[in-house]
Amino acid sequence: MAVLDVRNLKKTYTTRFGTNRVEALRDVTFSVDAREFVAIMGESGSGKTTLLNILAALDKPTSGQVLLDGKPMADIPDGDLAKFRRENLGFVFQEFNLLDTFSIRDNILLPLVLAGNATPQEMEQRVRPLAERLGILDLLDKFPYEVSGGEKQRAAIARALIPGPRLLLADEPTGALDSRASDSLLSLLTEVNRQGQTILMVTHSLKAASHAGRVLFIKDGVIFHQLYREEEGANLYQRIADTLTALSPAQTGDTP
Amino acid sequence: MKRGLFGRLAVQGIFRNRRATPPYMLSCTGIVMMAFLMQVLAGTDSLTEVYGARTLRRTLEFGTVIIQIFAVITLFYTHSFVVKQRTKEFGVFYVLGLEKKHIARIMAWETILIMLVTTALGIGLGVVFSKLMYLILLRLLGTGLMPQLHLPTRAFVQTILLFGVIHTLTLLNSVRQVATSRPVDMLRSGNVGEKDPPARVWLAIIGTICLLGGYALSLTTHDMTSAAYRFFLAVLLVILGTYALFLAGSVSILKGLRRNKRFYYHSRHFHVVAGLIHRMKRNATGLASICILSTMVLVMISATASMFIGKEGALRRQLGREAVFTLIYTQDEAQENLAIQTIRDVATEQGIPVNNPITYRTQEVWATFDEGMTRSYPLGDSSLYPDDSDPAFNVQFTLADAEDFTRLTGRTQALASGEALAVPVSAQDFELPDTFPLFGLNVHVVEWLNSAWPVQHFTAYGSLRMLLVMPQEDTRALHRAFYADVQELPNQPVRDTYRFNYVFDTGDMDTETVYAFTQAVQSRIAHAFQAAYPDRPVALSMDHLVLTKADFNAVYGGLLFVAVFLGLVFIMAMVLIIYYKQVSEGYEDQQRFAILRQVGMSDQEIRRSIRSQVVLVFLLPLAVAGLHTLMAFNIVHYVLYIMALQDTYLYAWTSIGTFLVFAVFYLLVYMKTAQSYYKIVRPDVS
Repeated sequence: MAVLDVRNLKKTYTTRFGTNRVEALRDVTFSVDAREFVAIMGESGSGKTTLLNILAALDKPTSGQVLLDGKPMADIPDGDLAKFRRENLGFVFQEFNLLDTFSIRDNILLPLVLAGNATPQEMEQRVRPLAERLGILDLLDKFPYEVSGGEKQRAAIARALIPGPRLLLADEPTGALDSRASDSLLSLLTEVNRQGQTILMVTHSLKAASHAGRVLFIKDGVIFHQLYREEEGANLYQRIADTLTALSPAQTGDTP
Repeated sequence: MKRGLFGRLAVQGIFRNRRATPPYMLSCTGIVMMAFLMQVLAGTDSLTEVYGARTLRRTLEFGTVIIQIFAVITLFYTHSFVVKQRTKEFGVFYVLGLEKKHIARIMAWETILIMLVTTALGIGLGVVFSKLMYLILLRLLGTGLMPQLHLPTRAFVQTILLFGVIHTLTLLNSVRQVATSRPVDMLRSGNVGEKDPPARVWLAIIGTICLLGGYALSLTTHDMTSAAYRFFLAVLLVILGTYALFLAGSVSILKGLRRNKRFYYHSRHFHVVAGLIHRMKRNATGLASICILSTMVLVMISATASMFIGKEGALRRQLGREAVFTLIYTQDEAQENLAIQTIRDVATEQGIPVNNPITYRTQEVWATFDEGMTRSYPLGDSSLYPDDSDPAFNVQFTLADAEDFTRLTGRTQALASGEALAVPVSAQDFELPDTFPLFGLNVHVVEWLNSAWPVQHFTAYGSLRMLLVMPQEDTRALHRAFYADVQELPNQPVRDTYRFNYVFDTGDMDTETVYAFTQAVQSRIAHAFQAAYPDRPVALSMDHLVLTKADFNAVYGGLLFVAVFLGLVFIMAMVLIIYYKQVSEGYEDQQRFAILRQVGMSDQEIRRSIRSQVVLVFLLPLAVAGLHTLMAFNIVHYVLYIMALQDTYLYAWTSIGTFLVFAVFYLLVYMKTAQSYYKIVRPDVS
């Protein structure tokens, strides 16, 4: 069964005086199954960010539906949205978005503390194995300014995973990392996915997308193509590059 | 062309930084105006003819110095906020290819523009308001004269020079800041990673000791002789303690809270505690400054206001009739009559009524009390005078003849030698025993009177005074004994003289008329006695309720004026600091709250968290200032004793009133500035 079901999503922005209308999303339909790792690729201005904001319940669609586990998100009252977000969705951002006032441990614990139903001991029991899995166990007491970009992003992933979300949303997670840190972060995401986590990642990096099980291409507010990772040996990276060249000859795929 | 570019960039810079530069310019203008006004009033020659103006001028000059020092500190401090807001912009300039010297030139243009506009505007407003301030001042002095206000050139020159220097200093400082910073840091300014502030335990301990020491000094003061110097020591300790505790104490306490896991890992406390640790680190000095400024405003205004309100009471304590003429070194009735006649003549000539005149004789002696024993207060040898740190009490005795007492009060009181009726005049912790030796005579107080004696003309401030009604032989004998050690010159006999008092009412009149009258009496008496008794010089001491009132007005009114004036300047600085804090914090928190929202904090939770942090940070200085004022109460009321204000309740009520008014004002400022904070943090909400 699909964890995420997006049906005929449309988002139109109007400028303040209604003189100008911009269609960010025209008609987007797709679904993400449990344990899937899906990448959405598109250039800047293709509607990626709008889509992600709607999926994250930070913005509302003009029309269309988003269903999480078969339940329409539009039915959730505004007052419960924050709680819903906290319990069902995990976020990873390009700029890490760690709070500089908290240690790494406290940054990771933030969603649990906000949920307010775990004791400090339980929190510690959950944070340690997770940190170990992500390789940041000995950084827990450090502050964000003391660790590298890659380490910050791992902490951000830990923060996203700790409540056990149905869906992990990643927005350009390697965008602010150098290529070595990117590689190791992407393998980490693959590993997390293999252990059962559903991931939806938005990116314009070829290399990042090539780690996914399925790649959706978005352009001018519509999904116009998708590629599946095939069995062993198939080179997804090459096929994404080919698709990009074939479908938009004016532009070349970006270099990782 | 190029010159024009930098000028244009400077002008644009001023307007682009809507939240930083205009408030700074506004405060510059305000401080220029206040400094200029104070200099005008202290320096104008219009007041020279007004009685009491000289005392006032000294107070105003003191105020001028304070304002000048304060202007330097405040503008320097607030300017650093402005520069901080601009660093990123300068970074962009640098990346766009401007060199550091070009940036310096833009800043110089900006400074010159700001200086010209604010100084001109401030002086202009100062000129407009000077008339009003001048009228308020004349009213405080209670003078009948209305001299035209001349604006002294010196005030213009001094103000322009002062602010020229201040702006040059701020410019040099910001040039230094830009010159020493790397462009990368400039661009990233404000996003620099935050270190977890260290808990400085030692600083916290020292701060606690200083603060408790200051409080203890205030609370253990029991007499006014030590109050003055203890007061300054206490102020110093409390200022040090406040800064140290805001810097170290708050972080230590918060870190303690963070260590308490059950408390810390709670959705209501988690973000608040972590946020406060960083806020306190960045804001400790600013908050301590707000706290100290608030305390100063509170103590200053409540003390001077209660002095001003209480001055009528103090006056009534000091004078029984309106006019008091005392002929010192009087020897016989002929001299008394000559004095009365001369005074009456002058009064008739000047049209001054002489109502309810009374006469009586007194002696003045001083004695030192040390554990119940009196020591004489030897006149010839000043090295034996007790100093302030001496635990002994100096008492000034006014000795009055029993006959006069009977004549004036109609009450017959048989007093044997050594017996006395006593009126304690200034209350303090010192209590005179019923029996005590005084220059060889054993004085026994038969009865303590409250205010039976109709005449009390004690004009000096604060020292211990005692009126004793005794048989005439005793008063003369004590006076003789008091002056026994003095080597009398043949034409300056003091031992066998007395004071002759001629007191009467004149009805209400203005200060200058009274002053002219007393001056005329003085010279006529001098002439008359020179002619009649060339070898027996006398002295005349004069006082009039109106003159004393004018003196009081000059002192207390002047103090109140300067206190309110300085209070306004301090409050202005405080508002400014609070405003810049809110704005700079807003920019820092913007990103933080965006993250919290994404992580799953609801708008409501965010607003609650913001509110509890901001409210705590801004209420803390007010609460601590209230505590300081409360702790200062004891010592300040002794300091007020020195200024002859003995009405403790009056001071208590004025303090409470001042605090309430101040708190309301503070909260208004807070709410107004909090709006700009919310607008920055959440432009879509609120």
